[in-house]
Amino acid sequence: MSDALNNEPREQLLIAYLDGELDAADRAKAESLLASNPEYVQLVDQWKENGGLLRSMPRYQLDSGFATRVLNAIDAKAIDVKTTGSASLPALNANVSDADNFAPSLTLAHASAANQPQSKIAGLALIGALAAMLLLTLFVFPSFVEPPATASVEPSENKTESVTPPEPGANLATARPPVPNALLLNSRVEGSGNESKPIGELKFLSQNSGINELLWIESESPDNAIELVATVFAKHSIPFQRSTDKESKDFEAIHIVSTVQKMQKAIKDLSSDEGTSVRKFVMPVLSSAVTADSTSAQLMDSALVTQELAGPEIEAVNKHFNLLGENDKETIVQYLLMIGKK
Amino acid sequence: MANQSDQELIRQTLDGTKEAFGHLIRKYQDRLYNGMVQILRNEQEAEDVVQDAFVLAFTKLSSFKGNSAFFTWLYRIAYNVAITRLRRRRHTVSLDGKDDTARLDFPDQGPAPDNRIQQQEQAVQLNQAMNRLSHEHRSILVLREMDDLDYDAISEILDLPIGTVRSRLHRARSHLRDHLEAIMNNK
Repeated sequence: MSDALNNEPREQLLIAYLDGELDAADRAKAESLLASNPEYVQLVDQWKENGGLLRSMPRYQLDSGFATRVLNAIDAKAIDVKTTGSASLPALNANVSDADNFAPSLTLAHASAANQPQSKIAGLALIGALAAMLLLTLFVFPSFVEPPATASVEPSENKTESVTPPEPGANLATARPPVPNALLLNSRVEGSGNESKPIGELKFLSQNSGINELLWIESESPDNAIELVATVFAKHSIPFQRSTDKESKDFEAIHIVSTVQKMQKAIKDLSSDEGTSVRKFVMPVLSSAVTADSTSAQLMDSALVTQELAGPEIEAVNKHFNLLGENDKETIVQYLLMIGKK
Repeated sequence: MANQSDQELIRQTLDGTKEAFGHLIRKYQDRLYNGMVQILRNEQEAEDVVQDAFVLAFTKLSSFKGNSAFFTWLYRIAYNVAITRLRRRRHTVSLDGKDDTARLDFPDQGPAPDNRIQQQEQAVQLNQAMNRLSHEHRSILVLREMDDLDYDAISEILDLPIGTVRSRLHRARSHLRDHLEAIMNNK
């Protein structure tokens, strides 16, 4: 083996030697290497010197009031350490090497047409709604326009478990003032498990966003829910795409990029359709107490803290989250943390 | 209370003595903050991250099993929060065309006596070299060189195998050396 090929392993051995991380046998190898190779001695000396420079760098420090601010923040969030559930370390860091390709996805599970409970709004199905549950649409940035994506409509073939729908009575939230932080997200979460099927792929456009809205659309004709949403969105020039994910043949996706104004008009149109109702939930900045391990109740309580919603509505959203697999929940929470953070 | 062990402070916190957690905060805030500043290259963001990390740690304190040092556990929480911020920053579109990439300035230490001028110059060059590193390489150098953590702790914080810790440190030190050389040669 040539020296060039041997260099990296040797250098890594010396790195560990420098850091005192070798056992006796490897330490002897490293010392032998140094004794016979002056260039390695020079290399180790350089590393040592640079390490010393790093250690001698002035340290950044926080002011003396920082701890008080943290305790106040804890009080403000009314966190009771005794009652919070235990969990493993937050696994929020996905493979960092994937960061450039990182595009967390948000797919919305939807109920199937086949097992819908009867309800006053006759045969409500969550589905497409879930599609709409497409959460997140909106961000308030009328000045930002993204080129429309290709729109195509495909018939729904999914069958998933139904969820008791919330009671009728939309309670649209009012807009909140924007907070400074340009943010463009492309998120996609794939559902798993038999209880839920992914239904949506959302692309969000957020600029100085203080508003994240969740649309929950219920239709008497669940089979046509997706078509209804697609038709209305097309009417209002809201670009969207259906997923072409062939691996998950039940996968349906609606890809939305829009402005608040357009979505408000679309919501109005959707609501005017007989047998369809729309709920809009606004998710303000999420509590930092919400983590990947939070229960759906904690998440939704945090997210809907400013909303006056009927109990059944929150329960219905909770049920939806409970239908998702653990991985989905975590990803959705991560996503919401991203879009909900100040 | 200030001289009590982390274990005791955690126990008191879980028993409802929030001020015990305050002591933990004061004990580790600067060390954590320094690390986060180096990773994020932005002091305000680093402060936000550290605050979020402590709040998260408080929330999850009952899950801390003591298998590692509290600071290691805390650092991992902060690191994860910081990485999430970095990813979000990566997706940020600046509509005014300005580059929001953080470039950390050398912390102001006030006027220096003459015999420190060379040291300061070296530190400025080192800071510039650190600016050129990826956050992965900065992170691991900070953990090893500035926080003096061993490979096991680094492995736990970064969720990397020991072998990867070693190889990443090797690359980080090599890149730092190369950047320093280039800066000193005014490249």
